[in-house]
Amino acid sequence: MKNLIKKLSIYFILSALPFLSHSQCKSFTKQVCMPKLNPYIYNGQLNSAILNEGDIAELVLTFYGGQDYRIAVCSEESIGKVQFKLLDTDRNTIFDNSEQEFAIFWDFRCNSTQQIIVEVLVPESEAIEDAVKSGCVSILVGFLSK
Amino acid sequence: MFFRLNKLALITFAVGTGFFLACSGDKKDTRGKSDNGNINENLQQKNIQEYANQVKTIFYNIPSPVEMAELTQKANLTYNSDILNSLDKIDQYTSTKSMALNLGVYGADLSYTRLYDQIQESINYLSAIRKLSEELGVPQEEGAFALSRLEENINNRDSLLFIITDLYANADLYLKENERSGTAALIITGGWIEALYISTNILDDDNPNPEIMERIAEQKFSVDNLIALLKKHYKENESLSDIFSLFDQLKQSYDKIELIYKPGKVITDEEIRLTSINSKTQVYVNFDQIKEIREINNKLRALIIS
Repeated sequence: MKNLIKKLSIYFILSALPFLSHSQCKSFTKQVCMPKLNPYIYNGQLNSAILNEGDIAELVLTFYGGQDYRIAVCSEESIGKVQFKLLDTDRNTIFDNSEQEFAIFWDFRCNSTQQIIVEVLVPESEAIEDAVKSGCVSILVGFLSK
Repeated sequence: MFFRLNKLALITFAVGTGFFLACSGDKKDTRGKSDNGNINENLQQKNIQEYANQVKTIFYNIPSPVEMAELTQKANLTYNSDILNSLDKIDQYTSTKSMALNLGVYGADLSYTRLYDQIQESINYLSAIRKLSEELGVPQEEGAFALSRLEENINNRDSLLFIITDLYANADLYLKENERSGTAALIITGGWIEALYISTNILDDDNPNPEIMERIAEQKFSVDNLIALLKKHYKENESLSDIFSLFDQLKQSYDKIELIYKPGKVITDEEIRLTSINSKTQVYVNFDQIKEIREINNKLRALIIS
C-alpha cells in the first residue's frame, strides 16, 4: 500500500512539474513584463516559454506602416541578460539590444508594412557547471492607439 | 525519512526535468539564410541546420481585432450595424470550438462599435463576450467586467479600448496558463476573420477606398502566420478541416497579390529609445483580387458564425 502511495505521489508530482513551470512563466510575464509595455496597448497575445542557455526563440509578426510598436523581452534572472534582435525577412539586422546595454524594451516606428522576426538568444553560461540553466523568457508586443 | 524524502525529490527532479525538456518547444524547419555567401555550400548548409536546431520555439503573432480596427479607422465610412454578427445567435454556440471562434468574432464587432462610439451596442457585445468567456471557463478578473467600471468608462473610447484589450489579454493568458493554447488560437482566428469580413464588406464596390484595399492586401502576411498557428494546434483535427480548406483557398488568392519589400535606412535614436524603419513595401492589388478574398472569407465567416 505504502509503495502504491509512493508511486502515485511520484506520478502526480512528475505530471505537475511542466505545468507548474509554465504557470510560473505566465505569472512572471504578467507581473514583470506586461507593465513594461505601458503606455502602449498590449496586443493580447502571450509568447512565453522556458528556455535553456544557448537556446534561440523566434517571433514572427507584422509591423503595419504608420503604426508605433513596443517590443518587450523579459527573462528571469537565472538565465542572465537575454539578447534580442529584430530582423527583416532577408535576415538583415534592424535592431540589436546588445548594442543598447541589453535594454529589455524598445520602440519602433515603421513607415511601410513589413514582416519582422524577433530573435531571442539566451546566453551560454561561461562558468563550467553540470546543470543547464533555464528560465522563463517572454516576448510581448504593444501598439499605440491613434 | 529525511533520506527517503530527499531521494524522492531527487528522482522527481531528475525525471521531471528530463520529461519537461523532452516535451518543451517545437523544432523549427530550416529556413534561415546565412550571412556569408563565400563559404562553401556544405558548410553553409551545416550552419543553417545548426541554427535551426537551436531555435527552440517559434511564435506567431496575428493582429488583434482591436489592431485591425485601428488600421481601417482612417477610412471615414458610415457605421453599418447590419454587417455585425447578431447577438441572438449566442445560444447556438455550445461547443468549445464555436464559443472560442465567436468570442473572437464578437471582439472584432465590439472594436468596430467602439470606433463609431455606439455605446449601447458596445455594452451588448461586451455582455456577449462575458457570457462566452465564462462558458469557456475563463475566470473574470476583478474589475474587468465590474458594472461600475463599465458605467464609468463606457462613454470614453480610450477606456473602452483598455477594457477590451484587458479582456482578451486575460483570456489569452488564462488559456495558455492552463495548456489550452489551441482555444486561444481559435479566439485569435475568429477575431481575424471577422475583422477581415468587416473591412472587405464596408468597401464601396463602385468606389473602393485604396487605403483599405492596401490594408486588406497586407493581411497576406497574417494568412501565413494564422495557418501556421492553427496547424501547430490542430494539424490532425478533422473538425477544422472545412476551415483549413477555406484557409488554403484564401492563401491561394493572397498569393496572387504582390508585396515587394525593399529594405531602407534604419535610424535609432538612443535618447528616446526609438528605431525608425524606413523600408518600403510596394503593394500590387486590384479590386477583383479583393472581391475574391471577400468571397472566400465570407464563406469562412458564415461557417464559424452559423
